[in-house]
Amino acid sequence: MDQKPQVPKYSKAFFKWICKDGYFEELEGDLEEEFYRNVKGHGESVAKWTYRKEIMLMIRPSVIRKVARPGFRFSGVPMLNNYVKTAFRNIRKSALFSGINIIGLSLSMAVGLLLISGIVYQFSFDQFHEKKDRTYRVITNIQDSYFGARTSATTSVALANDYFQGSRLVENTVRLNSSFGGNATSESKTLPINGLYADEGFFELFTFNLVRGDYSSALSKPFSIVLTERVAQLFFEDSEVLGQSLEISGLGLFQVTGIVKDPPSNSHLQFNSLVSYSTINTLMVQDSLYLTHNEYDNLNAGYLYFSLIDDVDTKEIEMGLNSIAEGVSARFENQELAYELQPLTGIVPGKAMSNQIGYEMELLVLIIFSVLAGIIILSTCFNYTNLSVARALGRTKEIAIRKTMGGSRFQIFTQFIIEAIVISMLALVVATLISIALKPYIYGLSADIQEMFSFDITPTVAIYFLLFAVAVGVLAGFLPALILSKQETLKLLKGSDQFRFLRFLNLRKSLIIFQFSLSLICIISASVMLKQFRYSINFDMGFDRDQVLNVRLYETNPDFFIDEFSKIPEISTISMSSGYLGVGARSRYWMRNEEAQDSMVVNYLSVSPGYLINHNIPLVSGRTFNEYDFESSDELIIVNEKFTEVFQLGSPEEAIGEVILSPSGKAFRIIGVTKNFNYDRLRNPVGSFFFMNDPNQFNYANLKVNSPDIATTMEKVEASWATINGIHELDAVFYDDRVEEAYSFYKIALGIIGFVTTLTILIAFMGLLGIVIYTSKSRTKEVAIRKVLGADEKGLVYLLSRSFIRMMVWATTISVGITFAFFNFVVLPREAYRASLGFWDFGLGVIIIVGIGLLTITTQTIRVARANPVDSIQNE
Amino acid sequence: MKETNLGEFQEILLLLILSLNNKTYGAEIQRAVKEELDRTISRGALHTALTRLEEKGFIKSTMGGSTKERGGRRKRFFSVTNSGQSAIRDAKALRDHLWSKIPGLTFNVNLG
Repeated sequence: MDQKPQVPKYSKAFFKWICKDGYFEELEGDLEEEFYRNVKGHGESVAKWTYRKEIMLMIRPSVIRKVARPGFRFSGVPMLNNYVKTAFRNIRKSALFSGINIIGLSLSMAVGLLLISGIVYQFSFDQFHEKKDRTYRVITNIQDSYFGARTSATTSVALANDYFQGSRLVENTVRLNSSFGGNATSESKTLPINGLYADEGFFELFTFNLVRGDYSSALSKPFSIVLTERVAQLFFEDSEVLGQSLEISGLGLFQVTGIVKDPPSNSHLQFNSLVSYSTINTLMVQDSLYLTHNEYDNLNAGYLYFSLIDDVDTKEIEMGLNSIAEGVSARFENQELAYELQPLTGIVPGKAMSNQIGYEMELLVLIIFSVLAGIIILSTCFNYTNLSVARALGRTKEIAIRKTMGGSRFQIFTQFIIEAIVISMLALVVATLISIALKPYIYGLSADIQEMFSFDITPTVAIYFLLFAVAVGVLAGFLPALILSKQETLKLLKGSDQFRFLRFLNLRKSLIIFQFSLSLICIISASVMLKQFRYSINFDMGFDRDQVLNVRLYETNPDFFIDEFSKIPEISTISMSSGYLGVGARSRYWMRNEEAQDSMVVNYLSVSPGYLINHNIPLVSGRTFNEYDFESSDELIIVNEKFTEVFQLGSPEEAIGEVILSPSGKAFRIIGVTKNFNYDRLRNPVGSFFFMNDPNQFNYANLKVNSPDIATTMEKVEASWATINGIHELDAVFYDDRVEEAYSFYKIALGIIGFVTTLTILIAFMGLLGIVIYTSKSRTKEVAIRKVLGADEKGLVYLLSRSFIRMMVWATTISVGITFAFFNFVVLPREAYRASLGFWDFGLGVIIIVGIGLLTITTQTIRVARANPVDSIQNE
Repeated sequence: MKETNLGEFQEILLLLILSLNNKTYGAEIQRAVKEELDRTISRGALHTALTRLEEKGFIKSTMGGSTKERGGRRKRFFSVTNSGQSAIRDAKALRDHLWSKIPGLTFNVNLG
């Protein structure tokens, strides 16, 4: 059977809302009559539209109700004074509730404050440049058919000469290249130095102040160098610097033409020195540098910044660049590229890209953190709402009398909102103290964080703090204020029985369940992550890294190094390598079979002959490298078992002597096969891998240390280092520490989650405590009567606790379900090697939280159950 | 001549109500306006006009009983009061008087 057509219900409800009470029945009746006539005559949709149109035409003075004039007469400061005074009296009167509210709010507000100061700092990046609004950087979007899409902060710097200098819209163009570096020798000392090659317009485009030197000419001549104050102090101390010279290894003699103030920490450009860009051309002529910076194909050659003549539209430039990009893309076989203009102030925080010149911060990260903090803050606002609605039961008479005396709904609403704001202001004070106390803890999580966030309270930050506190107050106080001011005076006076707050009880219970689920999720996540972290760093990677000390070589000759360090008796063996295994830093190579055409990606490491023995990597067949290998015309390699499988070389024995080719046709001959080991982070499964022996690539010396007293050995290592390399500080790290560092992601995440967990648990318990106290107290009389009639204490405690225990069970079910699903199906499958989750990973957190929860509930309910009935019943 | 304060549309409404047996309700009037005058008027506009007439005392209204139609909503029935009847009569008299004063009313047919 067809359903009878109905009049559009929202329009009808709207009409009911706007229509004068006396007229609704008659007018709506008429409209409905017309509606059904129209349904018959013209069909349902015409009827509906006619009905809606009619209702819109009802908006006229004769039909709509008068806007109820609230008794809003803002009497200014005296009234505000009164509100604040009442607020303070109420806060003092119910010290326990206010205390819970203030502490809860201040804890979560501290998180909000840290976030605010961090975010304000992020957005202050590069704001100090005078031309920030018309300065842009050219970045490159690359769509690669092998590696997918990526964005690079670098671009074809050839654009500078060919395009930008000819454009009438462009005022100034600056190329930057970060490859400058070497050992610099002044009259008195030699130190490593690095910096940027920069065009002469640098100081015009960016606002970096020169202490000495001339803004326009400092970077014009080749072999000019501008030092930062800090670096100048290192080399020349307090003597006159201008006109001094620095000899830089492999490059030549540089004239110091200026001293620039150290770049502020909120600049994305960070440098120790600036060298004139024209130096590059001279160096290339001299063959001391090879940089294809004049070719469009080289997308990594450098950075390109420019400023517009005025606030003109960038569209014309973008179009010009696009047409160039099309031409360049045509030259690549499998890459499609597009140039993009990025505003200077949009670099930090900005989008993720490769080849960043300096500091980077993804906008997405900030958003994720903000959402997390938002959840915590909302959660405490719920607590406030929850508690104040509950507490309002005791304040019905106060509100009733205010209303009787002529207090309007608006005034009562304002009073409650002001009370909430006063509480959140008090919380702000506590929160500020907490956030200051937390600062060292957060800095301690990771060295990066110190660089990323400044949590200093500047005037801007302070203003945001105040706004934030007001917002929190309004958010928390809105619902109680609304409910309380709405009640009718008569019902308020008759007492709480008439007063239907309790219908919100389900909502409030859901909030408590939500809070507990949240804290359970946090604590379980923390324990799962801790487990995966421990699993990762203790994993048997298939090579022995115990007691291996890796020393960075810099440019030290490996032979000198071995000569010197062999003198230390505690060092048993020394090998050389181009990098670390198992920490996620990889060198990759494309290789193919002689027959096959398709190349495959292979990871490799360049090592000295002793490496395999030093790290206890067992050979399955063949031999390791020896010193006669250099006589071979082919490059000799040792591969892992996986390699022989992937390249289908048969058994390990058969693989010996096989030749693999690089895309350019270079031959690699296999001389040995090792067992598989984890050369990458545990996230990725073992793939094909080979060792080669190319001393030019050696970056680290691996010292096997057998020493009962590490401290003394380290002193000896340091002494030996000083004799062979006077320029660089010793950089020696134990392999285990380096592996731990590779998984520091977990450490940081654990630190943050640990903090959040503590917070959510505290908030949840405060919410629970509040609601338990309230419900138990409101049942005091019931309990007393039950007692008089013979109920025992145990039964009463159970009676009072029952619903809360049910809430705990709900929270546990929800949170265990969510976290189990999240880790088992989302996070851990992305790790090739993962710890298996057992009962205790979940159980421990649940037991702790539910345990404390039960303790909270029972201590409160027992108190009510034990109370002497005489006191409770008398208490009328 | 007495001032009747009767607008053109108000006059028509009074006539319509009388023609509908002097007991009618909003929706019916709305339909009559549509049929007799070929003029679409919203129920809201009609409400305004009726309210004005009632304020002037030319019509009076009573709520009808609840019926099964229109979801049990009652109708408001309008009828023209005596003063309303005399007002339209005055208006008619005024017009007749004016018509009668037009000398030799002819239609000028332009034969071009």
